[in-house]
Amino acid sequence: MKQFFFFAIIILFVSCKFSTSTYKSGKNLYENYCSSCHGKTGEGLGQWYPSLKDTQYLKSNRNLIPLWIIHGIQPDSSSIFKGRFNLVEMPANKSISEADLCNLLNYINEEYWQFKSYELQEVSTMIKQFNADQKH
Amino acid sequence: MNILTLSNSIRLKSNLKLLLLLSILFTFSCKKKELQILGVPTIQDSQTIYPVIPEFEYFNQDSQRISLQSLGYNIHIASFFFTSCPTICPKVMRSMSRIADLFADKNNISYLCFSLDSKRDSIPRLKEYYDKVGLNNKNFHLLRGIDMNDSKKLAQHYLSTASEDPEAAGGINHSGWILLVDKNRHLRSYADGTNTEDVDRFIGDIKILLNEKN
Ligand code: HEC
Repeated sequence: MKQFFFFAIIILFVSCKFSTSTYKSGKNLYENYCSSCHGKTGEGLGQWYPSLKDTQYLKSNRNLIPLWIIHGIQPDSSSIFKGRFNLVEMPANKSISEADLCNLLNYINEEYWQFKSYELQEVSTMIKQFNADQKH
Repeated sequence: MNILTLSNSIRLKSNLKLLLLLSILFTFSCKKKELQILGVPTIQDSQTIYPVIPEFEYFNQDSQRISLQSLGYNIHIASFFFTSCPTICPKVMRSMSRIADLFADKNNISYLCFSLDSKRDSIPRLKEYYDKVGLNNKNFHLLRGIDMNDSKKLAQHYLSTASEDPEAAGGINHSGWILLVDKNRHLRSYADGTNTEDVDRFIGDIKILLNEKN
């Protein structure tokens, strides 16, 4: 009986974590907008499309990643976000909503990174800050 | 009847059902699947003639001239792509590469990826893509296009489409089919290169073609 409760609690915990609508929404967004290049499991495609698992590099850029997703990464020198591989462009997603962006980031974070999760307020501030900086 | 015997008889019944199901499956799987020739045939002198892939010649990533003749009219698997494609190409290329890895020990299959972007996909660019994607298979050829007009015509022979489209992401619209062509230049099977399950079925078709006599 004790064991039963133990498992029930674990199952509840796991299913809460993975079936919440924000997780599903993030997974959906990832599959529609990212997985073609970065792969279903974040594996990328050789070195042409990088894997999303260089956690060391990505952790040090945690607060830039939301802006990369919005503005894309371009190999040409005139661009705001120049990549580190510069073989091919990562497309922009200019019209993604802040809530969607947040769900997408938290899905990827949960699957591959395990950094501090992204709060909506925090992402919103990052975007406002960036837009203000661009105007100057 | 106590609970034990009841559950036993249920188990027996479901075992019988399973056996029945298995035997049905067996009879069906024994019937060998054959690959049809695809495309619309014409009748000439009461003979049915199927369309064939016409001869072509393009440069590959190593500046070699590649034609059906240079490939010895072996089986080939074809798809269309361009190196800066922001949409489906990476998925299709992942499938092509998976297929090539699976049949790595077969020297009589070639993999042809026709570039649709003659402006940007120069030979050095194709070479860089080949190296960085890690294709690493001497039967794998990335072929430099001549112009969109030529690509369009070629694509049609492979039951595919390609066109310039300023509205489309990356500026080029095209289909993501992967196609199987036999020694007689006939199309025998195709799959949606973005769909893993469909590609699995297609891999089965390649095996059937490899087992065909002549
Ligand atoms: C058309 C292909 C393509 C799509 C679609 C795409 N990316 Fe990228 N992504 C790239 C390329 C190419 C780079 C590397 C750019 C560079 O550094 O030169 C990259 C880089 C990245 C990086 C940095 C990786 C690193 O280690 O440097 C992250 C994070 C990332 N992408 C996330 C995403 C997310 C999230 C999405 C979905 C919204 C997405 N990408 C969609 C092609 C793509």
